[in-house]
Amino acid sequence: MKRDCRWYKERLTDIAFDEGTMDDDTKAHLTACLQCSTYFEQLSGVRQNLDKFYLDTHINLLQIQRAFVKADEIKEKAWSSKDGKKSGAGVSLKEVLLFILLALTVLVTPAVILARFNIRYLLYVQIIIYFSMPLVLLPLLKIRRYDI
Amino acid sequence: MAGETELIKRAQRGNRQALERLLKDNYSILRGYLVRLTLDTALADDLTQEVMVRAIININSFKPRAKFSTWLITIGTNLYRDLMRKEKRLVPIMDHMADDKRTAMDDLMRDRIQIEELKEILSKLPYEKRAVVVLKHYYGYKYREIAKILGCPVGTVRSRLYNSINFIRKEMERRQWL
Repeated sequence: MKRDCRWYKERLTDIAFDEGTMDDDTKAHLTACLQCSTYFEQLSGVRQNLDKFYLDTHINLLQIQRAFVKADEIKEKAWSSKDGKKSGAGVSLKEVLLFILLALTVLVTPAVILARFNIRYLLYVQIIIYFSMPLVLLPLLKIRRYDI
Repeated sequence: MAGETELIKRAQRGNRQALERLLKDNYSILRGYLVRLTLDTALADDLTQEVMVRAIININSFKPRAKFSTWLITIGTNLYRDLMRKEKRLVPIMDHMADDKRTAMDDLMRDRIQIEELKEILSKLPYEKRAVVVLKHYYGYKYREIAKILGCPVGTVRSRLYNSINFIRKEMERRQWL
């Protein structure tokens, strides 16, 4: 396969950035191709110039302390619901109970109505209730997360 | 003196001093990376703070397969990516570094001008390409490590590096730096 200069330049970039070693094929191409050999020489200049962007970073201890304080605040908030009750999930017990009550009302009412006409439907609705019950866990999605 | 792995274990058991020590040890790497990535010291400071907050909260989810600094850099990259998407700030705000303490005025001026020009060149790169250059040149990460940090294939990292370096080379050539 005939390789073009672009292929060799990519390879030379790898080598300049310590991702490979010079092989005989690349060496031979460098000897024959002025464009690629100039490119390779320039890469070390590029790296030297990039080094000029030095930084003298001092450790900001105050910033680290502030991070701990902020993290504590977030953790505290995550464990408390809006009304201040500790629910363990950022949702108050009142909200969960209300949701369960509403869910049961919505599901049981049609069952009772249908049961008056035909008992077979009661069985169907009970099946629906059985599979729908996990929906009452939906409020738990309100857990205040602080994911990465 | 405890090693990083030991400090991580202690931090995950709730030892605040160990976590503080980890953050201190990796502060320069994190802030340096964010300054070079954002090209904006104020934004880099805000992001550094936010990364540390997230690291403190999520320390138990850190798996010591990678270095702690790599984890911090990954969080920082994700935060900056989210910010760029949210604010659609494609061109970073250029600012002046406040940390230089050198005394020779001529050298200082010349260096300052070159740094500003270098920042200008880097600012022309999209952040995902700039991240590759920063991680590769300044921190010596391998392609596969960069791919993991940025969440993209190794081939993409390689081509981004080539394209970015070629662009930087042309810009430096135009300014007669090479």
